[in-house]
Amino acid sequence: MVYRRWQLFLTSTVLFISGMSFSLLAYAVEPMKAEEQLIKPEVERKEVTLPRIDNESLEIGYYTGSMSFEDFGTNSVQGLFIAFHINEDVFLIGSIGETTIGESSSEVIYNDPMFSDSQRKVSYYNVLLGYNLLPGEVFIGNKLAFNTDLYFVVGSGSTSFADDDYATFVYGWGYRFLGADWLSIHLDVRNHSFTHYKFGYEKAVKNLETTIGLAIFF
Amino acid sequence: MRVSLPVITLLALLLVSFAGQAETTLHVKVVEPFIQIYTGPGKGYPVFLDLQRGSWLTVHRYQANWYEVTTDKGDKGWVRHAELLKTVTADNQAVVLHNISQSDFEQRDWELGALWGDVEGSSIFTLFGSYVFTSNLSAELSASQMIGSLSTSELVNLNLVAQPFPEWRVSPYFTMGTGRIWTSTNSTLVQEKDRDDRTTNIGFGVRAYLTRSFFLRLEYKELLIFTSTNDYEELEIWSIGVGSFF
Repeated sequence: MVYRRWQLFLTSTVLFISGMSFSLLAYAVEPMKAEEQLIKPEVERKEVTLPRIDNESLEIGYYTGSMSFEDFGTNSVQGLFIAFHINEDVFLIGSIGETTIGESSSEVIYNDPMFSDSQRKVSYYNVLLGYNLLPGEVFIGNKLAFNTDLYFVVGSGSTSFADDDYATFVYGWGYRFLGADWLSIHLDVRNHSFTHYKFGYEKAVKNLETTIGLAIFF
Repeated sequence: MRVSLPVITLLALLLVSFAGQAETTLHVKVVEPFIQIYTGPGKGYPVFLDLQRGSWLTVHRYQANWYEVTTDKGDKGWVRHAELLKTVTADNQAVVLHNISQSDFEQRDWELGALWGDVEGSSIFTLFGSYVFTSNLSAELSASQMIGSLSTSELVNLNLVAQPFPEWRVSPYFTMGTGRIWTSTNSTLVQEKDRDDRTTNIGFGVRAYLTRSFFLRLEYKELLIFTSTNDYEELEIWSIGVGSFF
């Protein structure tokens, strides 16, 4: 087994070095490209004559709501998120959030706390891929129209609770309401699932989070 | 007081956003029979206006391949990037709005991205940033969190990445580097100690240009951890992720 791994290691090294020499070779012949560059400035000048249109594919926001933490009750949750809109359908969204867990039934019944207050602080992060499934428009009265999106998200991250981190699978759906060109309101429901060993046995938990968020397009 | 940090960050971002909102616009004329104006930035939104040849419109901003426009009559809507190429500026110049493409990918300076992966049953999440020296060679700094059922590790790596065929849409690369790993065992295992070790790694992968400023990345890495007992451990890491370039 160890021998096989060394073999793999050596093969990778050889591949890396050959990759490097290719790179250096390509770098050595790069002066050839200088001639192509002679025509380039003209193309660039043509683009500069046009004004730079404001690019707003980035969304940054704050959310708050409630998170049910299996065995430990439902508590308030809050966090920040950042979304990159790759195209009209797909976006990437990263979130960091925090909540505090309550006491489990056994802790209450036997009056025997398992965790200290600081261990009850839960923080998590995740990066999810989102898909705008149902873009649409809603009407309020006969003068106002707002754009909306119904989207779903899936991805993974980590949940940190009682001194340990747990790899967490996250999925859910959300509704984006564009109050203005630069402002969006989000309603999200997400499931955070992971496996922990805090009760002395392997336990798979599903924690439901329901939030409302406010974001700005940049 | 726990609310304050996120709220302050958000307010600061808001201020920056408004400070930088000196809007530049573009006034253009339709030269093809007509262009379609949508109510929102996506093909799922309805078309509410067909703007005839000779009409003028003002372009305000860009969002994920769509442009927000207003017509001279004051109607506001969105136009697809390709449709806007059917217009000319006041001095009769064709509109060449810069759309990021694969040639920009070949000439990128910076990369930022995230990878998800598997390390022999444990999960790993990585954030990476690279500086591209030449189209073939770049330096990459990455930070990872590896979560297993018995321990959690934080990992920092500095790698050199060689990309022999930068002009290919799906382009292979080879990487080699060094780093540090901090491992803390789960609180349920009392006997084990936390560790801090040096590492070295070697790997290969592919980058595939997706669209606009995004690419897909697939990677295999062999990580060697030099433990304090003059011994080493080996880990195989498989990852997949996306990145954006500048």
